[in-house]
Amino acid sequence: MTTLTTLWRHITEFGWLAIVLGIATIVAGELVGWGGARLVAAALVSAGGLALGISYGIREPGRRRVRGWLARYGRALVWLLAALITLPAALALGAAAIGSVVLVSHGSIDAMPLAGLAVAAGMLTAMTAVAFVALRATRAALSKDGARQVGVDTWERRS
Amino acid sequence: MIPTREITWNVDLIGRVALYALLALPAGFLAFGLARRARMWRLGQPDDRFDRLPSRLWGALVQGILHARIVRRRNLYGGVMHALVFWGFVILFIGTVIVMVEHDVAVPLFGLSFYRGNFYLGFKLAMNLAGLMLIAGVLMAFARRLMLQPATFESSADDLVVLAFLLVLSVQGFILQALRLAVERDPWAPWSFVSYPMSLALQSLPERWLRGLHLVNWWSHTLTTTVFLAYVAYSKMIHPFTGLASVVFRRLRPPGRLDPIENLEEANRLGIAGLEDFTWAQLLQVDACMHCGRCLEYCPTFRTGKPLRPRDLILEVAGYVADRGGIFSGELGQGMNAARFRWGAGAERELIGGVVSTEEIWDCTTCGACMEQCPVYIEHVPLIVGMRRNLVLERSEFPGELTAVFTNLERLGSPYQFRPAQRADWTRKLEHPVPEMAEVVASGEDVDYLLWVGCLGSFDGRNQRTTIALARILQAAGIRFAILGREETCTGDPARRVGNEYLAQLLAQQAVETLNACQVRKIVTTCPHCFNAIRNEFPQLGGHYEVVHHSQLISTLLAEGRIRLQSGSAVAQGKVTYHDPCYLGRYNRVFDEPRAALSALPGIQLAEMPRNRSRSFCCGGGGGRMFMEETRGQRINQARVREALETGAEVLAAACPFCMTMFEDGIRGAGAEGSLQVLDIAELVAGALVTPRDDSRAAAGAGLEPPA
Repeated sequence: MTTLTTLWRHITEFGWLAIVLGIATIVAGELVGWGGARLVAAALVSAGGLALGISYGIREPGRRRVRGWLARYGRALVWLLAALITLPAALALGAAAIGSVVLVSHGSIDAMPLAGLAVAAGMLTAMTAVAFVALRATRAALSKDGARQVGVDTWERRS
Repeated sequence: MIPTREITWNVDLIGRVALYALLALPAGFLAFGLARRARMWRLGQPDDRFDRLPSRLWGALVQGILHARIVRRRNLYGGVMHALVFWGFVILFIGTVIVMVEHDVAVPLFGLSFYRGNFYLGFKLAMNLAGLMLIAGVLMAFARRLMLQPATFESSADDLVVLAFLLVLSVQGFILQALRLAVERDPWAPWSFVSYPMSLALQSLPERWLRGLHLVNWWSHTLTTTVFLAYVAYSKMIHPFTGLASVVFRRLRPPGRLDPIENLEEANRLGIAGLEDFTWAQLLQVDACMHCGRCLEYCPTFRTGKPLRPRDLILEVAGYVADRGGIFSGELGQGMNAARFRWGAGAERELIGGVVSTEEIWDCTTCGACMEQCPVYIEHVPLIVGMRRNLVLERSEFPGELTAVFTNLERLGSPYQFRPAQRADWTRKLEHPVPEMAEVVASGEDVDYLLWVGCLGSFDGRNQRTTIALARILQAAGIRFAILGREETCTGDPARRVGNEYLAQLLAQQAVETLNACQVRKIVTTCPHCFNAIRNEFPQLGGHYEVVHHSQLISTLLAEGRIRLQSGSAVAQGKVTYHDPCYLGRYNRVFDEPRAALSALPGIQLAEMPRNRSRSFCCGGGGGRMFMEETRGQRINQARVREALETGAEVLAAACPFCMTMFEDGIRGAGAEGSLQVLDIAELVAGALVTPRDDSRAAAGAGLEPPA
């Protein structure tokens, strides 16, 4: 009981310690080629993350700072993440088109790569459309005027 | 060559370290979000929801995980879409765990590898299928939001972001697989039937390009996964946690039972007016709402254009408790959800009047259609009644029409201005007398049933006809029954549903004392509201009786041959449609017996309205609405009458005095007096009853002795 109470009292410190230890374990394990380190590292890092999340989560809320930060950098963050998340995929899907052109130029294309090109084109279209719609909605939601447009207008339209 | 692949193929040292180090982010963000929520739920009042745990868990498995409450015949598109997304995601998640077990546990710790051979081939097939399911489900969801747009639907930026994440994650998975296959050219690659054709299209590119693209996409996929998992607790994606918790901690008590205010005289706060007045289960439920809009599908107020929309009311409350409880939600801005910020944001808003309007609170008919449909078992009605209780008991703010109702209930024991002595006046219209319970007890005799007549059945001329019809049926069947007469009072149902809990408890207590004094065991009633109160709420006050609705008793009497029907009914012939009263059907699951009684009527053809049984559409009279003016939107009773007319029926069969009154008005309002009449099941059966006189006539005709 005493151990648990002590652990609980120092949960934040233990959380940080577990994360640091976990990262150190995975670095060492990968360097020396000991696969068992991965499980230990995953457990430590996850447990550390959970401990920190819980310790901050149960505290008295004081989210004004985070809200302010989100208001200031939210839009830039969204655009950065959108680029990092979608552009590599779009590049790879586009590469399938280049690959198909190469095959055509060599005269060696048949049905299967063409099907692959179709699949890639479909995925690219779907991803681009979905990302565009989501970004547009997010931009509207993050702006005050947009909020009114997405939110209240929807309400009024249905009234 | 054994089919398998190298896990973390083409990933460098930094990538392999990052894969594990980054686990702290989603774990931390998820734990933070859930801890914040748990903290908020703990602010609620106690509510014992930990009983019958096996039932709770089984229900969560069947209704939630196996989608029994989500995929419904009337909502197939939404259900199938959700099932595709859910199962696609779950299978892919399980696949990721399997790969982790192979890579991090089985091989390094035990030297065992199962990720090979036939298992590997089947795994690849399943993963490709799951990825396709997920993409198909997401595209269906987008089509629903952007093109189909059902009337009950409302979308938000957050919904679209979550869906975009799911689609991109799935596409990235296929891309990574295709790029690896393009380099490795596995002979078993066709098992990955989606990625394989793409890998063929990519094969002609230089290997260094392919490896470079793979690495960049691997990092992008790792980032996407990390951000998505970290975002879960602050988005609609929290619903697998909150929704499932809401299903586990669902109400297992009868849905028609409203919990009383304990120690009413000593309670500091009455009803719901702030965060601290909700129970923890209510806080969990409003937090679990994913604004799917199913509660609106059969909602009478939404369908007739009134301010109350159960989904929006829950979201308004959810916004309020999120603000007050300090949980992050809707951080994508106020545009996230229209209803949530309908009256503006901010923790300083007052719940009643500031967040939820009094119009919404008073519009509800307590029909329970919202609760019946909600996939996560949100209990809208107790929440609304809780706010009504605060308005009535603490603020004395209620619609003016209720003043007379409360006064009559207090003084006369009925919502109407009739003296208790007039309660048994209807018996004078019967050929045979009906004894009163006091006489029966005094004479030491016994009866089979107490007929609980109800206020409308006693005083209202139209509903007296139903009572008389039932009495004739009981007499024809040779059932010994009695009434309470002037001893009968209101059960307290209307007072309780409009929030006057003090008066409701007073009336119910009085009724229970009377019934117990008369040693009543079995009760038959024509009123589903009385039926519900006696069956589900009287036990709270020590009143335990076997109560049946008259439609159930009639159905049994017909099935047992204790009453017989003649072929030519004096009352009705042809098409009849039956309206399921909310407090009989939805709340007490009596659906078949009224239909059985109607089907037994010779020459009558039963035609169902599109909204029937548990999906029935309210008459508009429940929840005290019977006593209030309906000034907003279309009239609910007229909407239901129009639905009945569309079946081509000439008779609208009712089984509730409230419905009877509402439909009589509705028929007049819809101008359908000539084409539709409303009759109670008892009237229809009594109209076709073979009476002893009919038997004598038939026997004389056949030259036989009449039966004794």
